[in-house]
Amino acid sequence: MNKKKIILYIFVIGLLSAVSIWYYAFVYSKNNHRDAAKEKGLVVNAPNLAEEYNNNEQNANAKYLDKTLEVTGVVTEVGKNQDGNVTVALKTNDIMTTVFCTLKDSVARVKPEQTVIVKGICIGFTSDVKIKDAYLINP
Amino acid sequence: MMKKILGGLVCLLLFFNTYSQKLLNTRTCAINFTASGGAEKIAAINNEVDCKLVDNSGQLVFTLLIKGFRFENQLMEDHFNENYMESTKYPKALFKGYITNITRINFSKDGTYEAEAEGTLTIHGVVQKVKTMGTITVAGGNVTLKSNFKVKLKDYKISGSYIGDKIAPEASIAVNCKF
Repeated sequence: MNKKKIILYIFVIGLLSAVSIWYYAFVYSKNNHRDAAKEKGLVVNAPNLAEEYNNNEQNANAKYLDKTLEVTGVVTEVGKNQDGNVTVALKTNDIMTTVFCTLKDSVARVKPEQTVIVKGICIGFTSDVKIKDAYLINP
Repeated sequence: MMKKILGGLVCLLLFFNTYSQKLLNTRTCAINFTASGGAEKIAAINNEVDCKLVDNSGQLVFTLLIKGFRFENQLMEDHFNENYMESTKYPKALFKGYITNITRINFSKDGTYEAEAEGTLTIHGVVQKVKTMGTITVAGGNVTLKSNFKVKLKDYKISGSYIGDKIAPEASIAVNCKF
């Protein structure tokens, strides 16, 4: 193999990796968002989740933050955020705390007092435990 | 006798009415920011911000979760969380303060009022004193709070190789809060 060929190979490999990095960073990442539906969820119920967060936020974060959760609970409130996404608050044993889920749906399918299972990504605790990009698994 | 008791009751009611305070509360306040330094758009929105405002004292609290910011680009969102905001270590941002001119805002009369807020802003674990202007709009009993302000990333010890290049050194923040 002569020098010219080696340089050509290196150039082609360099170009290919540059194109693939560009594609990954700017095309693939724009069209492929993290999707809770494709991940296995940690199964938990709303009162227990809230209690763990109220007892020790740091420990609860270590366990749940950024994880996909499958939360079972009773709906207390259904609303909409400013982007038109449905929000569902789940009851806990603490009056100050709900598990507040923002769904991907824009049409509400559930009512207060209904028992539901919501699957989404846990983003932490304010005075509510918050779940984003969520799906209603049941009903 | 009856009249006196009734009169007393009315006085009592009036007294409570004048001194009653209302807590305005939402869990779906929207806060977005832009920090584009070059051609690439760097912007995100958080639609799950908690906001509480007490109408007579002007006490104002915002709590948001960093992982609630949504970018168009997932890779950008990951870098924002991991490299810049370190959102696993510092999951929250917080504003605690007062609307200092609250007495000039009449929540029972429709209109748009200038509001001045003062307090502390906690981002990335760093606490800074801030002061900013905004508006409060009252329309048919609905209250909307809006504000635009800038935050210098280095004030909050947010660092990274792209700041000052692809990422602007200052982020423009817009708050849109519908109670």
